[in-house]
Amino acid sequence: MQQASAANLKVQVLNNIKGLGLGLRKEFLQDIDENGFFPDWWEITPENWFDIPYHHREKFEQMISLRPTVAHGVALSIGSDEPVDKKFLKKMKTFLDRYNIEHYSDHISFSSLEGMQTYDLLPLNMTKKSIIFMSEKIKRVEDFLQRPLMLENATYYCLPPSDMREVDFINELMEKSGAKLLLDVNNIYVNSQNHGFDAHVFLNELDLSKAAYIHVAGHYRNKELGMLIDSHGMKVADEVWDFLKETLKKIDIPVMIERDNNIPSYKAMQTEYKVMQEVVRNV
Amino acid sequence: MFDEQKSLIEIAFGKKKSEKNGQKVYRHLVYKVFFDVLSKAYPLFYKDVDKKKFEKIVYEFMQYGAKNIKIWKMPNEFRTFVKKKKLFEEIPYVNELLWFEWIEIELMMKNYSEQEVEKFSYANKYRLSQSCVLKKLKYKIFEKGSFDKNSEYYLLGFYDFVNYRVIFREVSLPLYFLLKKMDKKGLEKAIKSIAKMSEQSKEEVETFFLDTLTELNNLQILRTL
Repeated sequence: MQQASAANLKVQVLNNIKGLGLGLRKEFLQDIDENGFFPDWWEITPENWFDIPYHHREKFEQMISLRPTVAHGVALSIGSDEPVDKKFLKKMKTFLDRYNIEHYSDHISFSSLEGMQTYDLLPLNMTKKSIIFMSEKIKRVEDFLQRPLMLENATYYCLPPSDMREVDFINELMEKSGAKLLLDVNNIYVNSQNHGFDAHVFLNELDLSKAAYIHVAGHYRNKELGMLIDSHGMKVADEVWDFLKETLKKIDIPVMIERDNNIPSYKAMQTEYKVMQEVVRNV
Repeated sequence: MFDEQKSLIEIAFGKKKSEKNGQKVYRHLVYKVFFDVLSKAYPLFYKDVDKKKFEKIVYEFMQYGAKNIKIWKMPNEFRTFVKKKKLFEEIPYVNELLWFEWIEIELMMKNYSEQEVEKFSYANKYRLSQSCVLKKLKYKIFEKGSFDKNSEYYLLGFYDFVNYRVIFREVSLPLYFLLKKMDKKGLEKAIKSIAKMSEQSKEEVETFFLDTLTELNNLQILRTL
């Protein structure tokens, strides 16, 4: 078990990525005024930009030329128990190279098997065997893409047979594979509520020296299913802002807001970005 | 690990039942993704269809397997699945309606490259551009309220580079024939072919189509070779 130092740990993993970021979505493009509000940096979902509609291309290319940009994917399926999909990696590399995007991440999960796509993030067996298997896959991905891979701690609503606690699984995976952690504080919060553990203890036990940057996002309570659902479809909850504050007291790294569903206006995202600025300023 | 992952996917796709609440969440979430994408991609079809049946077919489609990592292409996989399995046969125009709604998405999403429009000339060689589709239809699925009208229709769909939208236009049989033939054999052979069939001179046919072809060229529906 590794404890984060009580002192503020300053980690500089990402070149050029500093401050606060925002997910760049197609829905925002036409509303962004080049003389108006801009985040410090953008995060994009590369799979959603593999094909860029004619009417979006110029603005998209302008936006990512004006701010540093990181790519956060959803379809790598690093945890699926099968070899890496080279066709997919080729597409990803072409895209990242074309736009000169240095930093790429995905999730500690699987989303496809035998070519069948779920378009969702499914949980992994948290076992030593998974770590060995995934570490090998991570190296292959990094070799192919010629850039390091970051992986995000994901939400899970059920746990396949496992012999490790999540926090130990993540720490060991990061250590063994050398990948950096995309630390999603909303996911820690959601998992803690759904599975009855203390998010603060989890955070204390997480090896934060491996963290590259932080995600915050919205969730909702599904009463019928009796669980919090990590939807990225609403404002960030107050509890998650509080948890972010606590995290930032331990580690000083960039933070960004993810919003993938119920996409509001760019102006509304600007308001939420200001909330994030306020939270970060008050740490 | 593989068997456990396969089992969870089967639960998420509704192929296997589960009593565990957490596993039911995946069934709920994965279905929601498929439902949202398909119902938004096919609004006209979704409005017409029996909702319970739609849900059932979406589950069948999930189990059949969506293979493309690009989620925007999932509706096309659904369309081919419906056609292959002969589903929704109670809606006679289903395959044409799904094609019509899908092609609008595809024409919007294509990676078009910039091209300069040259003045139209019969001396140039042309093919149809990738920003357009030309199709013969049995049903009038391009006109609201007339989907079940059964005849023979010729439809031209194209991406409008000025207003960034997809436009559909019903065209005449001669124009359909000319464009189809031009795309395969070139404009000169297409003109000659129509001249022979209509017992007119080549010049008369060229004069007849000049304005139309000039417009189609300006709309980048014609591609200069």
